[in-house]
Amino acid sequence: MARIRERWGSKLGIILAVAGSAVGLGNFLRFPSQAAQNGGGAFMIPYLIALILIGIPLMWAEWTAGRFGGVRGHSSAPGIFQSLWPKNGAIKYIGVAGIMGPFLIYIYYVYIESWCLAYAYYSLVGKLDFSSAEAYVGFLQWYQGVGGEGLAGSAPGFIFFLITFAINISVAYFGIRGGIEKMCNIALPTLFFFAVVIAIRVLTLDAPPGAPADQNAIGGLGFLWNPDLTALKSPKVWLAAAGQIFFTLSVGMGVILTYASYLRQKDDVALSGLTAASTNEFAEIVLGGSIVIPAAFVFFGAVNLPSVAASGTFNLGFVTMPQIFAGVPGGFIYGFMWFFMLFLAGITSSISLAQPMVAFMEDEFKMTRQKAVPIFAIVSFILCQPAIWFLSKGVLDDLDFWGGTFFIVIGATFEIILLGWVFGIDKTWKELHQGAHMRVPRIFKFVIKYISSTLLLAMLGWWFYDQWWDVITMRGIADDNMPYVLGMRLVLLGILVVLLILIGIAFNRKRNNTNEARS
Amino acid sequence: MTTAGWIFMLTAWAVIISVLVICYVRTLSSDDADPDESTPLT
Repeated sequence: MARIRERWGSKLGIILAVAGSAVGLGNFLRFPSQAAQNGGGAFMIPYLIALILIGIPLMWAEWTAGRFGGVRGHSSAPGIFQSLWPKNGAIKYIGVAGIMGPFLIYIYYVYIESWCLAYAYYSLVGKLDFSSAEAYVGFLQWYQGVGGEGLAGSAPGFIFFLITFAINISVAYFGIRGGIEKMCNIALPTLFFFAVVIAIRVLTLDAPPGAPADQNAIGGLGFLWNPDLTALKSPKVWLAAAGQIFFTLSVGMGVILTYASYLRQKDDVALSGLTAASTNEFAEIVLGGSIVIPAAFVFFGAVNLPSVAASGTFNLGFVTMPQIFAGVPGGFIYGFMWFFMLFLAGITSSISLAQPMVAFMEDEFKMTRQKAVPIFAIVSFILCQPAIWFLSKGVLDDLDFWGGTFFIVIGATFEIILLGWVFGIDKTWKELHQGAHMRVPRIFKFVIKYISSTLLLAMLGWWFYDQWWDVITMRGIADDNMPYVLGMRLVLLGILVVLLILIGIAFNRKRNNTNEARS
Repeated sequence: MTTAGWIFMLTAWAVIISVLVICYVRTLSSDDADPDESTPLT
């Protein structure tokens, strides 16, 4: 019996799902921190240039490739790459980046997401210790089980992880329309509502008693937006902007490929893609830029803010923000809204990270979703454990590098070259405009073929030149952490080999079936 | 906040919000294809 391919229930459904995948913790924590450290308002110049030259072209390319592959029965990168270049037997193996990358992010992201749920709960019931900065750090370390008491403190963390994991798997089990789409239709508007409420509260904060009058939220906006044009001379600023664009739009991961594969040939991808991307940019630039940095400016002042901004994403979210809410009337409600908003941003991303692997099993091994999701759940649950129990041993950082950087850049570079040069820019352009509700400016034809591919190749080349040897030799990793990181890398190598074998088996079986049918 | 800061922020906000609004208006005013139409896989 022929299987019925899953479809999105509505155009808005896929837009919110893709936007949900893109809007994550980085929009509210990483972007303001990056902007504040890299020239303030001037950061927006390279940021917007990178958005136009890398982010948007790659986004359109992925939507186009995803729908193209989906129409041919493939929802994950190996099959989609193969359908774009059918004569090349090796290209499907490159597509492993589009399964492995999101899977690696998934196995640590769900744990971080569970912190947000836990902190939302602790904020609501008043259990967050608001007494001092040391108390926040102590609470975070206790919760993570890294505060010198070994794993004893991880019990609540593990319970919240189990809850979060179960929610993710349940959503995946109910499928594209019944699970992901329904969840995003509720989660995204709720997330935006909470973000707007928090942003309004932050932007109406006055200077604390005894502080200078200009230590208010507007001053905080100034800290983020006052341009330092000399920063534009620094290559570091341009790379930081390109990196932020790359990761904020969820391009190169294989997630958009998979989501777009559930569209029909006549469904629009041009306008839908731009709508999803602009939703993400609104969350990042307008809302993300109006919460953390302005709030931290009011409470810590201009002198201390640079060190606060440089303290890292997790400190900003889990230490700085609770401190700020502690000083606001009704702070526990804002604390709950903040962490629950981060949880929603996280879960709409993590369910998208699970989908490429599930889709691979469904499409290439003809499994039902009811069989593929439990297999995914068992494998991912086992592999989540090192990220949880060896958090302080550098395992999570290493997973983040391979999943969140390496496979994304590899996948994106091959993807853009495949569409611009192998499949051909003319065919890509025609495919992009099938059923399109907008005309993409023709300049993007040139940008996709020459500019985006050159920039991505340059980024990849620079990375190999600058970092490859340090990564392989594990330079910078503490001696005590070496066994853990090495062990995790061997596990990752094993997963990679298994996936490559599975891709080979799946496509050989398909070819044999096709030959049998012909004879 | 300096005048240049205001200009950078308001320009960025205006561009993003304009694109967002135009995209959603055009998306919501265009017809959805039949959501129940399914394609059997061979």
